[in-house]
Amino acid sequence: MNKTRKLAYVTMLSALAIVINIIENSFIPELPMGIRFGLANIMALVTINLFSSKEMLVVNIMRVTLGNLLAGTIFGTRFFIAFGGIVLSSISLIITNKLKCSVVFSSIVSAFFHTFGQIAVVCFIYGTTYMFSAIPIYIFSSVATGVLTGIIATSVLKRVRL
Amino acid sequence: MKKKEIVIVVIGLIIAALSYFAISFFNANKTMCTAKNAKGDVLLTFDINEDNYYELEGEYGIFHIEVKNGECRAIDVDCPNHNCVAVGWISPSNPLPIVCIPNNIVITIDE
Repeated sequence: MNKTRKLAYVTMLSALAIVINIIENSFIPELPMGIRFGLANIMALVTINLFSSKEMLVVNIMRVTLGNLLAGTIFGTRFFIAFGGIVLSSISLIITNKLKCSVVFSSIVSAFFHTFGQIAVVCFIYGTTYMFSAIPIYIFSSVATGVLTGIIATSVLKRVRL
Repeated sequence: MKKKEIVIVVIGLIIAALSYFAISFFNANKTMCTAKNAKGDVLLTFDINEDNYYELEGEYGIFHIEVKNGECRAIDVDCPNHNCVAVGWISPSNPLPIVCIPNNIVITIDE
């Protein structure tokens, strides 16, 4: 696949990730404790299985910067919290991809590390470690949402043809 | 999913359940609640066992705290997402922090 074609694909995947992020922030109601469905992680899973880690990093960084730019919260606290979550989530996704784990498992692990990164940034901003006491709830929620996004990502990967 | 992965997920869930009970157990004898902002300045301290109703002013709007029956919650807060209200009642056995980022207020249960 030549470079232009790959660039076009990565751009479309990034656009899909941004749109899913915006729709999820505007239309899907938020559950208590800030638990989100994290549907934009589907695009990261699809990208890393179709291409490689570099393209997945591009999609994720585009998702967090352009999503926050369009929502008007760039360089505010919300941006740094999301950025912290994305960094840990991408690193965990690269590691589980190298270990050749299944898509659903990498989805669960990356969902957990996404919330872990966000909690770490909030604790760094506030200087306390109290948010870490909410981690058990986030483990349960990341397993549930990880299974959901993993199943959706596997169905997408079965049908896509490059 | 392979068998090893299912085992890892189940172990993670068990660790989560155990740590939840451990946290509730270790926090069972704390009585003072504090409301702080991001710089660490204490805005308000109150006893969780006295029924009361407080009104704080955050950076976005007004922040109401209701204390009743050994628990406290945030109600009627001026903020865009209301994550703080969605946490619900917190108590020494359920010591989650109530965080309101637009208002820059964190309520935790300390000694």
